[in-house]
Formats: sequence, C-alpha cells, structure tokens
Amino acid sequence: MTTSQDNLIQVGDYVVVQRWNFMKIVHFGGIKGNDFDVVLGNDIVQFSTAVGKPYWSTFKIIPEPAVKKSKKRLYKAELLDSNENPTLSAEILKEMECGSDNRDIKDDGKSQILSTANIHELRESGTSANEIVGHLIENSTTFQKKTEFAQEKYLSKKKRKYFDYILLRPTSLRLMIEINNKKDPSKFLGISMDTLSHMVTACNIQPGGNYLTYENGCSGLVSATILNYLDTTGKVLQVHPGPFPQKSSVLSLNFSTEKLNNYVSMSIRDMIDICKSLEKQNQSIELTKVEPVLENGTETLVKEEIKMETVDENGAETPVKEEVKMETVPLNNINSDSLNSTGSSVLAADLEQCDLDAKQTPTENSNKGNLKRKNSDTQMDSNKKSCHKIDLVLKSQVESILTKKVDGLIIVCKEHPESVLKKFIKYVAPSRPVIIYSLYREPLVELFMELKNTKLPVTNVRLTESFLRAYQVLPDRTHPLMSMNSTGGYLLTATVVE
Amino acid sequence: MFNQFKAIVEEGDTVILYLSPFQVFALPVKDTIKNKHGVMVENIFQTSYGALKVKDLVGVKYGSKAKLSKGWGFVLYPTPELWTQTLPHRTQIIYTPDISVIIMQLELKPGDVVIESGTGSGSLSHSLARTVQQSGHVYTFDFHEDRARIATEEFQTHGLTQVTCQHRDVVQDGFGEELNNKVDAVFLDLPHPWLAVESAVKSLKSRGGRFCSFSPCIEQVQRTCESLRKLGFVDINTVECLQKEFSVGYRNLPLAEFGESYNHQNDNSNTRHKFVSVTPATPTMQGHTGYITSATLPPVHVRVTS
Ligand SMILES: C[S@@+](CC[C@H](N)C(=O)[O-])C[C@H]1O[C@@H](n2cnc3c(N)ncnc32)[C@H](O)[C@@H]1O
Repeated sequence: MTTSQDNLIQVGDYVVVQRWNFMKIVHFGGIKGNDFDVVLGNDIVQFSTAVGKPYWSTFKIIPEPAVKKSKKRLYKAELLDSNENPTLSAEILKEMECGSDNRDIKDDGKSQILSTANIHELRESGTSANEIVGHLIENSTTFQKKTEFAQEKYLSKKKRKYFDYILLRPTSLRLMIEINNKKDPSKFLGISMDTLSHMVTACNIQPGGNYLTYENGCSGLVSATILNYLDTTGKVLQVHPGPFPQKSSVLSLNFSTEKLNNYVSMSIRDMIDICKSLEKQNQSIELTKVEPVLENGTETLVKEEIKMETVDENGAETPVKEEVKMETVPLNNINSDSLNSTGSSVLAADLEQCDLDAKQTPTENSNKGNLKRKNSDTQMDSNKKSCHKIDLVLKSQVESILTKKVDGLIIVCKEHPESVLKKFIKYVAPSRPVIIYSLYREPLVELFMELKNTKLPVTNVRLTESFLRAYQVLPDRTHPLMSMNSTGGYLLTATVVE
Repeated sequence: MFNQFKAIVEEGDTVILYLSPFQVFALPVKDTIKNKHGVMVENIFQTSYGALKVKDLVGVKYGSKAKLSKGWGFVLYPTPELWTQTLPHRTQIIYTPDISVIIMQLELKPGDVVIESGTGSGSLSHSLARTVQQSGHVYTFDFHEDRARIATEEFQTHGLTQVTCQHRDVVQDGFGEELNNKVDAVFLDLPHPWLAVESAVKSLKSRGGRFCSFSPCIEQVQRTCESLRKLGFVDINTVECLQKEFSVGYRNLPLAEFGESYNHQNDNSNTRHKFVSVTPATPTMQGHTGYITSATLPPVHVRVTS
C-alpha cells in the first residue's frame, strides 16, 4: 500500500461517506476545519478520528448516549483495526456489494411489532445491523406479502438505517453524479451520467483547450466535468448569471490548486461589457478591411425563407443548393442587431434568477461551497461599493481567451438557451463544438430549426436523447432494475464552421 | 494531429470531409494512396458532389469549405467521434454513445495509464488516447497479428504517441510483467472477458483502480461479474446505453375534408397544416449494442478475495 499524502484523509478534503449502499459527499472539517459531525439520517457521527487515516478505511460507529443534541442520535466513529480483524472491512464491502438475500427470513406468524424503543435497546446492546433487520422482518406481519421488489427495497432501507460500519472513500466525477442523481436529479438540472458523458465526448477536450460554459442551476457540474478532463494548461471560463458562480461541484472533486487556477468565472454582466468592448475593437478593425465584413455578413432574411423549405425530410443538408444562394445574397448585418436585444434580456432573466438562488435555503452540497461562497460574497460587496469594477487581471484573461476564440461552448441553464448561444457563438473557433443541454425537448427543437435555417455558421447539427438501463446481475437472478430514470435530458450539438 | 488542435490543414493530416449527416469521410492528406489492389494511385476522392484532389486541402482552414467539382463540403478537424464514424472496420467496433459511458465509468483523466484489449479496429483506443493525453498512456493488445499491426500504423499516422499496441493473447499471457501494479484502469472487449480479470488485478495499481468490460451477451456479463466478485471488486455495476437521434423539420398534413363548401381558395395554407416535426432520425435504431460492466478494485489493504 502506498503511503503518499494523497491517500490520506485530510481536513478540507471532500470525502465520500458510505454506509451500506448509501453515499454522500462531505466537506471534511467543514468551513472552519473543526466540524467533523456527519449527519446520516437520524444519526450524527463524529468523525474527528478519521483525520490522517488512509482513504478506504472502515469505521465502526459507537453510540454516545450521554450527549444529547436535538432528536438525532449521536455516535463516534472508531477506526476498525485491520490487523485485529483483517477481513472485516472487506466483509463489509462484500455485504454492501451483493445486496440483500432474504432466503433465510422466516415468518413465524406472530403479529407483534418491534417498537422504536426495542430497536434502540438492541442497538445499544451491540446487536448488529443484520440481526436487527432480521428481527424486524421476523416481527413484520406484512413482509412476506410484499413483492420481491418491495421486499428488497424494505431491506435496503432498513439496512442503510442500522448499518454500523462506515467507509470513507475518495470522491470522483462518477460518484458525484451517482450520489447526486440518486438523491435529487434536479440539482444537476436532470443531467444523467450518460448524457453528461455524451457532452464530454462532444466537447473533444484537448490539452491547452479553452472552454466557455454558461451554467445556471447545476452547481457548476459542467465546469467541474471539463476541469476533470483538462490538463493543467487549458482553461474553463464559466459565465454565470448572478454575481457569483455556482461551483460546489468544482470544489467537491478536490482538484489541485494548479487545476483550480485554470477555472475562471465571470458574471454575465461583466462578460457582456467585455464582449461589447471587443466588438467595438473588431468593428474598427473591420472598417479598414472590407473583405472580412462581406464574408461575415452574407446571411439574410431572404435566404432564410428559401432555406426553410429546403430543409429536407430527413434533416439532410443540401450543400450544393446552399452554395448557389450564398453567392446571390446581399450583405446584412444580423449579428450585431440580435446582440443588442438579446444581451439585455439575458441579463434581466439572470438578475431575477440570481434573486431566486439567493432565497433558496442552502442544500447540503452548497453548504460545502460556503467557504468559497463567503469569499465571493464579500468580493461582491466590495464590488458594489466600488461601483462594480471588473478585476483587471481577470478581465485581460477573459479578453485573451475570447480573442483567441474558445475550443468549445457548453450551455446548461435554466433560461431558454437561444439568446445565450447567439451571444457567444461568435467566440467559438471553427471546427469546434457547441453543446446545449436541456431537460426539455422543445427549446432545442426551436434552436435546431433556427440553426438549420443557417442564421448561424454551424454544421453537423444533432438532437439526441440518451437512454440508460441498469441491470441487477446475480446468479439466476439477472434482470433490468425495476425502476429507472425516465429521462436524462436532451442534447443539441453542432460544429461551428467558417 | 489528434493530439492538439490546429487551424490549417497540413500534408499528412487526416481530415474529415463532411457533406451531410450520412456522408462523412476521413481522408489522408497526401498525393497518393493505395487502391484496393494495393497499387499506389493518385489520391482523388469521389463524392456525389464531384471529385476532390485531397492534396489540394493543404493550407485550407479547418472548419471551412472545400470546393468540389459540383458543390462543396466542410473540412473538419478530426475528433475520435468523427473517426469512429468513418474508420475502416476490421472488426465489430464500439460506437460513440457506449464509448462515452465507458470513458466516464473508467474514471480516466489526463496522465492516467490504461490497458485495453482487444484493440480491434481502434475505435475505442482513439477516445482512450484523447482522455489520458500525452502525459498518460494506452496499452492496447490484440491477438490478431494483422489487426495489431494495422492499428499500430494508424496510431502512428494520427500522431498518437501515447498509444502502444502489442500483438498478444491476453487470456493466455496476461498483460505482461512490465505493467504489474502500473495501471489506473483496465478495459476489456473480448469474447471471454472473465478469463482476463485476474490479469487485470495484477496490472492495476496497489491503490486500486477501475475496471470495465463491454459484452454483447448477458452470459458473458454474468461470468464476468462472478469473477469480479471473487477477486475482490466492489461497486459492480452493469448498464446498457442507447442514444436516440431525432430528425427535426417542417412537415404538413392535409386537413380533413367534410364535404362542406367553404370559400374555395386554391391556397395551400387552407387545406394543409404545417408544423415542426420531431421524429427518429432513422426508421430503425440500435436496440442493443452491448452491456457495460464496471467495477472498482479497492486498495490492497482492504481487498479480499473469496
Ligand atoms: C470486438 S473487437 C474489439 C473492438 C474494439 N473495442 C473497437 O472499438 O474497435 C475484439 C477484438 O479482440 C481480439 N481478441 C479476442 N480474444 C483475444 C485475446 N485472447 N487476446 C487478445 N485479443 C483478443 C480480437 O482479435 C478482436 O480484434
């Protein structure tokens, strides 16, 4: 076993806490670095003993009836000595893995039911979770009448509640999505693991690449994902509607400071200011050069109307016809028109959204972001006082990213994506992707038609939906899981061209 | 090439010529190529919009239009996905929806070392290589000599120096001593994946790692899961992923005629209703590709076999 520092649990780490098949991500030590209480259902477990222990250590939880805090029961976590009982933690892992097997459960027909007090007594007398669950089933008059599916669900719920062993594991992108989507898929706007994986693929993340994301309502999942696959020379520029970025997912993955330095975030308001000043610069350059203007402005309404009818049945494009039309259409500067109108509407929606977000009670995961959030809050305050000045270093960083053009644009937000796409697509380098996620199909269908009508320079436009089916694989009991997610959202992808 | 964005097409590049969703081609940018009889001929590519002298693409900007004699197409920068869509098939290959899930399940990131077997047509290898980047490494094995050789050439042409392809029977000979405790993840696409799980354990780092296997048949999955359980893997999980693609466009339907005479206008808009339709892109779709089984090997100190 390696003893390098990164295999030891340290204060400030984000850690996966696993109790039987239940997992959650915890900011170890909390904001102040001295809070090791982990809430698991009705139990609070004190984990200060875990500091400096290797990841994948198993802890037994010991009741501390003496201390009483609210209605929850208190426990302390004690490291299982692997020398004393070397197979124990592995046994626990096994048990967590194989799921429950109820073949030995007997129904003795008695109708008495264990009271909460009885269970509590059993627990305090050191009865194992398995035995407790056994007692519960024996004392349940309804258990045998449940379907196999319901029985397993019941067992799983009870075991999770009474399991006395807890495993601490490192976080990963995969676990983060799994944990979140089991608990509340809406926190990632319904993005499923498979849909996210398809976004990553479409993004074609390359070393040194710069990626622009517009995120709202998914806790920074997109930025976290791109950072995960990016080397230490590429950059993620997250544009966010409110005054501060949503980035709890970015924090949960314990990225190195080197990587975190490549995560740049900017509010839409500042971003629009920068875009405007860049556009002004460009215009003055273009005035001196005539040709580029002609090239950029060949899109017209006339052409759109003709094109609508030529989008053929199977969505295939008709490059030859298009070419002919392109040569005959006059110049029209649609781009800058749409900018002015959409720019402000995005802003208005964003500011509203930002209010909503501020009112929301913090969820577990956003708690973890508190430290950084606090920081950006105070930053924001000082921003307000100094009449909203953009950090100059940040500004020049963003300007250079935009001038170079980005290697991908990813939009995942609560707003209708159209105005966001139109605002930022001109900063995407040719032959690079734009990726838009939505929980709803309709906005993407509208956008698809818009793109097909070639108002925007893209090709290879695709609208997809992903379907994932999970299986239980056990000897003689292999079948798809009884319940599954009904949707993982929709993706619109396209390649930007000249 | 596949390893770093570039703006302008150069000689020796592999470019993607995009004509329509169903007409996408990967073309090597060079003067001459071998024809199907193994004879070197001038590299001229025929499309339904006319011919393209591929070498003429040198100097063209990626993402711009290439003139064909009767039209034009887009010249795109090659990505692993476009390569998977256009590559020459020497075996069954894994397609992009499954590849994406596999990459995420393997928990790969830049700098990681990953084992793959079999190499097959190299479809997955390209995505593995992109994910681990040049700071990482892909060791890929196939027991079919020709496939291993052709794949090696392809990786070279594509500039994928982080890929090593070896001719080897991994069921018989494992992944080699040199890789013992060296890799972060192992991927198998083999007829008998369960026979290579033990070798996977040997190759994975002592701090543990991820395993993934792709199999079309459920019996293969059952045997693999059994073997994974025996050898101390946890988080064993099997999924199947399908991607549905939609075609979006205008359609119209005639309005029903009730024989009642209303103002007769020979205007289409009164007799037909136009709408935007969203339908499956193809009348049939992949109903099954393969099961993706993934698992975690915990670090040695908590690992137990049965
Ligand atoms: C379905 S193909 C793999 C396709 C590949 N995943 C792709 O996406 O292109 C399976 C490959 O495994 C190889 N193979 C089968 N048994 C093998 C073994 N024991 N050792 C090494 N390669 C083996 C075959 O030669 C074949 O090329």
